[in-house]
Amino acid sequence: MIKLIWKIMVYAFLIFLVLEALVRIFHLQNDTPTWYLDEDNVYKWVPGQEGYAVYGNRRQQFSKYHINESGYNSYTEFEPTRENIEVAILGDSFIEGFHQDYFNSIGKKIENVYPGIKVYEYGHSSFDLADQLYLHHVKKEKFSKIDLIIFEVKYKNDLQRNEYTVPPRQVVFPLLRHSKLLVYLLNIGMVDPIKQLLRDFNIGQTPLAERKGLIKDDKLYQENFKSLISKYDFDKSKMTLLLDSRETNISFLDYLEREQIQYIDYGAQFANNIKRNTTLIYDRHWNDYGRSLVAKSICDFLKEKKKIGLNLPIKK
Amino acid sequence: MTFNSLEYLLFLPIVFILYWYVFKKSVSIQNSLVLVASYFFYGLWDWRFLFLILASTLVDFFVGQLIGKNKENKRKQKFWLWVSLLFNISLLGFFKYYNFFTESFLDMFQLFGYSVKSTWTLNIILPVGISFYTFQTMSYSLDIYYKRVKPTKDFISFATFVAFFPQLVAGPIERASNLLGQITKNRIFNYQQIVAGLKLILWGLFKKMVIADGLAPIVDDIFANYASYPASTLILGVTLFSFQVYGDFSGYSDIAIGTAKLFGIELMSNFKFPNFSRNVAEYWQRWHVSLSTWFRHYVYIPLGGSRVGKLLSVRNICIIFLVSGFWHGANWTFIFWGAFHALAYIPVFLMGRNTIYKNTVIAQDSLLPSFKEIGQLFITFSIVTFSRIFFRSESLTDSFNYISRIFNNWEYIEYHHPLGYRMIDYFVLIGLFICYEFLIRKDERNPFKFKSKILRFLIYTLVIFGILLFYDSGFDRSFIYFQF
Repeated sequence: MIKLIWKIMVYAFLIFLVLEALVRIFHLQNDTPTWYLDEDNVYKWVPGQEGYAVYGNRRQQFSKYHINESGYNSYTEFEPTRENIEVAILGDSFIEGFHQDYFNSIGKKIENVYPGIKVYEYGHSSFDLADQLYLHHVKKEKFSKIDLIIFEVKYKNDLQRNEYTVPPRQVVFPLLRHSKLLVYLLNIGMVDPIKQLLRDFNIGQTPLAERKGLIKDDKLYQENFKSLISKYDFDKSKMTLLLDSRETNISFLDYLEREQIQYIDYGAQFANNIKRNTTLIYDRHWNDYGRSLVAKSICDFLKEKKKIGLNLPIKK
Repeated sequence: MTFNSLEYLLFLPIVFILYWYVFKKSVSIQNSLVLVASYFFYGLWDWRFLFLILASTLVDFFVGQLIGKNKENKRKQKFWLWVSLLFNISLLGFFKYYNFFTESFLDMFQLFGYSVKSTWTLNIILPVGISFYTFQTMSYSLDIYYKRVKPTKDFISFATFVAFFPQLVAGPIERASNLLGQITKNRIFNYQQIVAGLKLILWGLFKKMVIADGLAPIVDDIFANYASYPASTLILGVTLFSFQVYGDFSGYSDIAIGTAKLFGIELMSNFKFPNFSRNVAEYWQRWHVSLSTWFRHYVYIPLGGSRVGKLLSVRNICIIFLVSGFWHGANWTFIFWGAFHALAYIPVFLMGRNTIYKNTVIAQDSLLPSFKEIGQLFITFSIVTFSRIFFRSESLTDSFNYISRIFNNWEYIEYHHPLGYRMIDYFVLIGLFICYEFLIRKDERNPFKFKSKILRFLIYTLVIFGILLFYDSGFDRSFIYFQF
């Protein structure tokens, strides 16, 4: 028995080492950039980082990211001017775009249609509307030079707070994350049964989805929205929301109409294109096609509302 | 609890350590532990069905005693044998076939123009593994009746034989002469046997988690949307299903056999590389061997087997294939599947070629198969794969529509899975799998039979790497044969 246990341990260790090497050689693991809390108490990625976002087995989704000097994933630096036309999109991981090559983002797709404008994507995973409005609030000076500011709002996720506070954040098992094999196992969900088992014994964090289930109050969402826009100076003339009307309460949309708060509804584009898949295989984020639809919605908005002026050249 | 679950990963080492460390003093204590573990293992599905196993165990235990006691009285022996058969077949009949017969009966009425409102069908849950353990308990009574084994007086051993958790829910269906004898004897800790068991478990997990689970989403999509796909995709779908069902069931069997080895028990082989069969008869000597053997021993031979005239032999072949099809499920699709195999088997039988490959494998004395063998293999695989359309379809209408689309919509269009799975990965996987199985084709119980330690280590690692590459957390990973 001792021989058996000893041999199993040796084999397990050696296999672990070879698998670790294989995962690194084929770059199967998802690289996660390092974050920090800046002087304004806003979470950002440490500038200058590059890596690859990998999702699913066999790296079926493999895309490069690049963190610019402002701490966001973008091919460009954010240097707004009074002279040029700039659009800012603030949002969560969908805008952050680790699921695409950084030079093929929603912003880049808009720029391809309107070569005369620059699009800055202030996306950061899990940023809700409070995060976004607070970011705008503390960087007022910088944003004042931007011509149009778009806030991405997922109705059920992003209106659960009525003011900004620094959300606690920690890396779970930081030491284990040095092993690319374990990162890969976490990514593909192989550790999920263990996590579930621990959860059954009340060990570890409650998953986000379960917590979300506790708040289902539309009224609360709308009150939070009102509170946020009054606290953080929402300028209706140059700010707009980006949302999916299919996932948004109708009374909230009515409220926006009444208050003449503009919004871009990408849900209509998605509803008209149900034949093609708009999300990634192993991830709920938009795939290239999904991002094209969102970019198209924003382009249509710019054209329709004549927000950026009609003299812009449009690529066909 | 399934073999590929975290619960099993915790359960197995605990039982193993208790078995060899804490309860090693006597075989009866070890058997008690295995019995409790087996009932726990099964009870996690639905504890209420434990009573069915217990009932089947009790009936056959006492029937066995009574058949044994009435050695001189053939009539009484026959009576008690019938008690066992009727009891077990009634269990199966009620839980598995009641709704099928009722619905078929009502359909028949409608065929003659009578509209009958169905209130007779019941909401019956099929107890997992009922087809397997009822067959195993029946085999015990039958073996005593045919004087192949003596009845045991040790109830715990007998109950362990019936409920032995590695093979309880999906076989191999063991006969008392093989398994019960091992259960009643002392087992000693055998390092080589345990290592062989671990290797089989690893190989079984690979077949299940990589081959079967990897192909499942593609097969599911093609069979669910067959009406919108061209012939090329439909052929691809059923071919991949052939590998899926093989990976699933043979993977399960390997894990079962491997697990039993950890407890010092040798179960019979259930799969012997059926994809390398040179005719349909050889296929049935290699596919689900424990079931084929069961039917041969307890149905085919008592009917006269092949020792009767040609016509009666053909009748016997038809009977066992139809019964075998029906055993798989209460659906006409399975009966057609069985009938199709009977039709494919009979010509081989009539030409006297049904046993010519019994003791050899493809490329028996050479490195590569001959062109003739490749041709035989291709034809056999095509026949078997074609029959899988019946096996996989939801209904007979679907089966025939599927076949009709293959013949009437003959065109090639490259298949793309709606979720965008990279198909080349699966083609490479299947290619490598076939090549590897060909390498190990002579010994199904030792999938890593290579002399070089380094080579073996690399293969273990690659097998685990394969599991990591194809693991899909969003997929229901239960075994196909659990439904039977």
